[in-house]
Amino acid sequence: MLLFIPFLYNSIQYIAHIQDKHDQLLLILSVIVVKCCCSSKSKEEEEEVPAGQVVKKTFKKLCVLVVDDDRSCRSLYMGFIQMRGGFPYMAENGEEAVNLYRDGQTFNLILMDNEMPVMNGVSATKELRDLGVTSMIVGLTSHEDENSGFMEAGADHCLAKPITFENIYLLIEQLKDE
Amino acid sequence: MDALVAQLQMQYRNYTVSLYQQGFLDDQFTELKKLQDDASPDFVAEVLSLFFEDCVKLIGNMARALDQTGTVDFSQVGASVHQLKGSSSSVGAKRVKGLCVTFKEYCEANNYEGCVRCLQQVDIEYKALQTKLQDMFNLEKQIIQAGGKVPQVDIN
Repeated sequence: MLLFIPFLYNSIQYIAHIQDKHDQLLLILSVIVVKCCCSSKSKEEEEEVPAGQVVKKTFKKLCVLVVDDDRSCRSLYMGFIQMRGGFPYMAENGEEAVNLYRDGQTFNLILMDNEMPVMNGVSATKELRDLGVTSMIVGLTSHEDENSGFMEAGADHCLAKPITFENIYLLIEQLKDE
Repeated sequence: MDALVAQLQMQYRNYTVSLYQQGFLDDQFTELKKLQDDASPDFVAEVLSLFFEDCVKLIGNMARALDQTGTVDFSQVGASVHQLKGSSSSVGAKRVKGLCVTFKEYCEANNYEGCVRCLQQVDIEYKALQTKLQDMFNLEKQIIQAGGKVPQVDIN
């Protein structure tokens, strides 16, 4: 099993290919990376706000979780997201995605494939919503029949595969506007 | 040297266009190429390398599932076909994707002979694409080694 971990340092990407026996270390590393990049509060959030003043929250780091068991798809989406200035993170199946949230991680956007081993995308979407996750979830579908399952589970949108750069561009622009 | 670069660039353009015209590649490959730049000059080759590794794995799974003496589990074959269809679609491997569509229909119909034929064809097609793309990447390297830049190819 290969696990991709994008490690960001001043826009330099480091992708680790590790065999099964190192999965534990990878998960720990990925959690550390995600904690550093996504969970840290911005300077504005840490400063005290005078009573009655409205503060507009801006996402300095747009974190996108890609949930797909296909490695070439993950690499492709990662490229699209980085090209648009986002920070991509990976999960190989729905259960991994849910576990990231259970561990306290958050993401601005989740791109969720459906057919995956262990836990599919529709089930993972439902579990995430049951956990109270409010991140934007976009279901990635192979055929139209999958749309209703995703939407009933709580997804915000569905996109038909193959995903293009324009798809990702529009989603990220929408999030930046919000 | 300029004449050599120009010649290689024209060869590269013609070869790339031919891959689209012959149906090896589609617009999704163009999307992939957009992600390649000076900061990630090998992006396309890396993604395609992953794709071809997955082809080997998935075709192996399909062959094993079809090789069962007794009852073949067509849903197991279909699951691997579905995966290959998804990844081939995402990287723009048009012929492989098209074969997977047919293959999936044979799986759903529990058509053993059809599945075996498709398996053989998928194996041939991904290897053919691999060879074609390797030739394309080699042309890119020759252009760069000759001091030129790999041209953007307008397919339309």
